[in-house]
Amino acid sequence: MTIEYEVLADAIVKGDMETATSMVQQGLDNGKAQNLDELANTKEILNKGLIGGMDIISELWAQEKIFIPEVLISAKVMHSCMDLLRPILEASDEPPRGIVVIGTVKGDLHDIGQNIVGMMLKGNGFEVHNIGPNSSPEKFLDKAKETNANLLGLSALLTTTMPMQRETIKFLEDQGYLETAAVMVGGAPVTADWAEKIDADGYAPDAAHAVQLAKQLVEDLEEEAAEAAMSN
Amino acid sequence: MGTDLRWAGLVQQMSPSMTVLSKDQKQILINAAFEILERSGNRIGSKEAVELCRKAGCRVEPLDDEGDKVFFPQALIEECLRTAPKRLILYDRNGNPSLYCEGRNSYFSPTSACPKMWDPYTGERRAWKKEDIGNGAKIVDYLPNIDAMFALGSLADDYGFDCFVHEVHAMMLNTTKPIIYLSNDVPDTKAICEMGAEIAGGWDNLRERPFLLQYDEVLSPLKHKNHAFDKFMYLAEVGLPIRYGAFTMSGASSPVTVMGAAAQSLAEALVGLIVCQLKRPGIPYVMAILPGIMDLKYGILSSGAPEYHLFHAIYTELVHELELPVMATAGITDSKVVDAQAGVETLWSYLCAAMVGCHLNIGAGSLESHLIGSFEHLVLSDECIGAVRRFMNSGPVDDRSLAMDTIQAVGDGLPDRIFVDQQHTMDYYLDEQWQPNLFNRNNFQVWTEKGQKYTHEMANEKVRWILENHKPEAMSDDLLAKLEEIAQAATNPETLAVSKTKKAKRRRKFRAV
Repeated sequence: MTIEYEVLADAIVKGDMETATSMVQQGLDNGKAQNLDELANTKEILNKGLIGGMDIISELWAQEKIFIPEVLISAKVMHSCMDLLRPILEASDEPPRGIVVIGTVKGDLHDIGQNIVGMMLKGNGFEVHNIGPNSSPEKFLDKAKETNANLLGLSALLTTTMPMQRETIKFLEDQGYLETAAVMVGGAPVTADWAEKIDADGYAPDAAHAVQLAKQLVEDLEEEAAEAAMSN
Repeated sequence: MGTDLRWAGLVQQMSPSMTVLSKDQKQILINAAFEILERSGNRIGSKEAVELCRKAGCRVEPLDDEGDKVFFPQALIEECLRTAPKRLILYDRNGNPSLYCEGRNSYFSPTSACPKMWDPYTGERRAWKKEDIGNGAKIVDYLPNIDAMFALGSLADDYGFDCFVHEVHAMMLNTTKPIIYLSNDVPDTKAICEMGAEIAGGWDNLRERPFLLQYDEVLSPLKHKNHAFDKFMYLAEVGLPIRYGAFTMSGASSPVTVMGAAAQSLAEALVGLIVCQLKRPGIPYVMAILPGIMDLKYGILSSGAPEYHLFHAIYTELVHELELPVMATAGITDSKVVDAQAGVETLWSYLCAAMVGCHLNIGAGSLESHLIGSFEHLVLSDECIGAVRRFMNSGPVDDRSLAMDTIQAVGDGLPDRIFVDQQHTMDYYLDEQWQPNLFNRNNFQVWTEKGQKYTHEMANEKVRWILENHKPEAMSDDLLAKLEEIAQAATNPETLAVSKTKKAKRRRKFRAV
């Protein structure tokens, strides 16, 4: 152990950017000084400190003891800490479990909701590529291919743009991208019925549930991949 | 009953009113909005609008495809405030004056674009059909305290982007009341105004006695969709009133503080005013705001929050200070059904709207903050507004209302010592005592004999009665055919295809958390 993980987790929970980032840096430096395996040390900082902190946040959130601003501020701190760890993790050829392309579908210019979902996902260790509002099916596909994303988040705020979610899913499927990637949809007027009807893989009613859903979908994809590997 | 009034100089109509801000505070907020426009600028998509601003002396910072950033000098804002008409009359379908948007008058209409509705017959929560929009209009046509129509639901499920013309079509056929409408783009607005001109008997009539008002929103914070301003250009060209404003979610798309949200919203709504007045000085402009709170626990839009009503009042006061017609939302509830929460939030909202004197208030029929449409809530709204209107009209203080002679007569000499059988009572009780249509005042026994019905059940019965019995004023076959033709022509098979795309296939287990 290179630092007190509980203190780091607490800094994440409190949204204390300075303490959290300096502790992560300290952990990396201490690891080097002690000749520890760099990757193992990095993973321990990530899992015990950062994710430990975000788990507490999730728990407090579930108990309705904290509100969205606390969650997003902790997510922001977590994300800045991740920036310090990412170069080491990336060099290890172990890609993050969830790479998400998130955007609001073509014709819809509203992006507040999808931005909040994106921030929440980032804060929970997902790699998030936010392509913003008014994104065409092609834009979703191009960004997904470029980033090797396994999750796509399609947002719509207007009743008139909800059909574009269906159009985008159909396009992604026709292009063969959804064999190994999953689509989640959301937005104020979007319901679970609608999501199922348009063959999305998942629906969450709000940003906090979107994180749960994304984790679930990543597990589903991993299971699918394991089964496929077995049958080969 | 004296004919010579003893208190002639003091006789006046009493009306409860509400103010939140002092004169100085209003000026501070208005100055803050001016400063936002001067210093922070606003991003505008419409090229024509940017060009108009540049020519009028605005500094323009080019950004990207999505628009340029425009900074507005105060002198220009003040000039545009001078050219905008200070009042607006909206007419009904037959050209009779209907809504006087001036002074402290308050009018009420449904909301629009609720994706779902409660079916009044099956109790099912489902998508809207064109017939449902017509039914909503029929109910509004019947209810005396709902003054204008707005679609309440959305036909996007059936018509995709082409839904708006069909929504207006269904409304026009089922009510004579003024219509507020959404539109996707300039061709939509054109088609809707053409239908309006057909009904009015020509463009001049429609211009002189407009019964249509288009609804558009800012993309807060500080961003303006190009198609909204492109539609303004068209409306300004044909000379019809324009309505624009902010719908921020305080805490998400505007500051969490009510004052900050009000200053930002006002600045955003002023941009619409400036663009319209630059395009055509003197075009009527309704300045609008939808107060909105993002509940920071659940991340939903709350319309039942107490801050909502404060925001509504402050914003209305600011627009009154600028002497412009003002529109906001009112009567919306966060509840999912017509229950006690819905009743409390709805009445509170209407009361505040009337007491601050907001001219146009949209929101009736809206549950779950614009997500579920309810005809029963329209009936509840009618009842609440009726009660509020009685409350707002407290009557004059004069010899008649003081009833001094009757008090003396009953107190002194009459055997039964009771006012019930007095001529004074007969003369005034119908005006003095508002009677509910929905709320129940029976004693327990009578209420039980009548089936112990709850408010939402009574409302549902009334909805069904209206749908089965009310006959809105009919149109000539010739006019019906013309409107049908315009509505059908506005349906583009290509955009419709988007909403009807063949299904993808289920690849894996569907997950809903």
